[in-house]
Amino acid sequence: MDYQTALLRARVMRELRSFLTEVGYLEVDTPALSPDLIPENHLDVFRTRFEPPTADSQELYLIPSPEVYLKRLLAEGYGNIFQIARCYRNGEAVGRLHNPEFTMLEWYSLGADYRASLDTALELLQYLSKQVAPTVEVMRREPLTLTVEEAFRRHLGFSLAEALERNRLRPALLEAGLNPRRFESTEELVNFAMVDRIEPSLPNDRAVALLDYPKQIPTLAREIPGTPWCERWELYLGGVELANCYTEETDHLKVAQFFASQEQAKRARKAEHTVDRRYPELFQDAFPACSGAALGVDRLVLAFSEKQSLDEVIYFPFSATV
Amino acid sequence: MVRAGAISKGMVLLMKDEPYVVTEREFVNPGKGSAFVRLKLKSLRSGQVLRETLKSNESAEEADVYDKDGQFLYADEAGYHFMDAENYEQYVIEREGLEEKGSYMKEGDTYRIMMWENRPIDIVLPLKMTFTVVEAEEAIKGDTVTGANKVVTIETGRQVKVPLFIKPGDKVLVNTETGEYVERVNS
Repeated sequence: MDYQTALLRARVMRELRSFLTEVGYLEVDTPALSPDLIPENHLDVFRTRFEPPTADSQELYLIPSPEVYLKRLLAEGYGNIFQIARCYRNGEAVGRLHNPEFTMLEWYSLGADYRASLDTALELLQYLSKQVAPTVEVMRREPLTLTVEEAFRRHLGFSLAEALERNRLRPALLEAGLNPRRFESTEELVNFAMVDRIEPSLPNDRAVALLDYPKQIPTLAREIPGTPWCERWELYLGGVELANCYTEETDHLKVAQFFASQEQAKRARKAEHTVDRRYPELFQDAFPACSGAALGVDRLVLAFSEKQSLDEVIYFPFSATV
Repeated sequence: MVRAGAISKGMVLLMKDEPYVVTEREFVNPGKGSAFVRLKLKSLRSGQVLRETLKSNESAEEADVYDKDGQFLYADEAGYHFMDAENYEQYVIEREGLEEKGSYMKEGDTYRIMMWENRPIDIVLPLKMTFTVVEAEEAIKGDTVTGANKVVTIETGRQVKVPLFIKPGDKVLVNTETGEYVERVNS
C-alpha cells in the first residue's frame, strides 16, 4: 500500500468512528477469538487451540464477523453499538476483492428497520466521501434503490415473485437465456441469477441498494408478512458488494429454526465449529427490535481510492505471502 | 477436469466443444450463499466473448492444447501462412480474430502456435517485442511538453504512439497486449 492510500485508509477509519459516535453509537471492542460461533452454512472458519498449562486444551475460532458478541451486548441492553472488527474467513479464494483477514464495520440500530439502516448507511457514505474523497466519481451520482423483484423484471424480464409462487424459477431462467445447469434449490438458483446476470447489470457508476430478498435464502432477516420477501438489503458501490443489512429476526422460535437448519446443512458439508448454544436463548426474553448492518471497510477504501485490488489498500495482503 | 475455484486467467477451457481462453476471473460470494466464479472467456476460434458463472465446486473441462514453433512466411487474403519448424509443412491460420496479433508479426520470424486437435488455433506473441521504426514525423521544434507523443510506423506497418525523440531507424520495445510503447532499445 502506498503512503497516500495509507493516509486515506487512516482517515476513513477515523471518520467512520467520528460519524457513528456523533449520531449516538457506542464503539465496542469485542474479542476476535471465540469458543463458539453462530452456524452459517456458507462460511468456513479458522480454527485454533488454546493450550493453558493447567487445564485441558480448548478449540477456539477466529470470528467471521463480530455478530456473535454484538448480539449478546444487544440482549444485555447496550443500545446502539458498532465495532470495526478484524474478521477471518477460511476457504475463500484470495483475489481482487477477497483477503482471508479483513476489516468489517458492523453496527446495530435499536428500534430501526432495514430501511432506516439504509438511510444511515447512505448518509455515512456521503459524509465519508465528503470528508476523505470529495472527488471520487462513484459518490457524485444519486444512489439507486431497487428491489430484487424490480431487478429481476428489469434485467431478466420476469417476475421473481411469480416464478417463486408457481415454482418455475428454473424454466424462467432458461427462458431468459441463463444456463442454470444442475442448480436445484431456490437459494442456488437465485444466487446464480444474481451473480450471473443481475450484479453485472447494475450500474457501476453509483451506489446501488438491492432490497427485499426471497425468504428461501436462509438468514436471520425478518420476513415481510404476506410477501415472499425478507427485510434485507445489499449495497453495491462501483459494482462491488459493499454492505448488507437485515431487520433482525427477534422471534426466538424462528431463530432456533434457523440454527437447526444451518447446523444440519453444515454437518452435511463438514462439522467444523461448536455452536453458540446460548444464542437462541438471547431471544427468549425481550430481545430489542433492531437492525444490523455490516460493511467491508477494505472495499470502501478501495472504492474511495479508485484502486483496482484490495492488495493496494490493505497492509501486507495475503496474496503477497502465497 | 479442473475445479472452478482453481481456474486461472490464461487457462484454456473447453466450452460448447470449443477452446476458450479465460481472460477474466473473479470470485464472488453472494450475500449469503456459496462461492461462485465469474469468468469472461474468448473463443480461440472466433474471438467471440463468452461469460460463464460457475459454482466454485463445479468442474470445467480443460482443452487439450499445446504449443509448437511456426515460422511466419507471409499473409494474404486466405490468412497467415506458417511453416512448421519441425517437419517444414506449411499451413494457414485464418485471419478472423487475429488481425491485432498479425499487425505485430514479421515475415521470417518464428512464433509459438497454439494447437488444438492438430489444428492451429492461435498465435502466442511475446508480451514485449522489438521493432524498427520505419516512418516518423520530425518533432516540432519548441514542443517540449513533457509526455508529448507522436505516431510512428513500425516495420510491420502498425502505428505506435512514441515520445517525440524517436527517429526513423530507432528500435523500440512495444507491449503487444496494449499496443503501447515501452522504451527505446539501444542497438
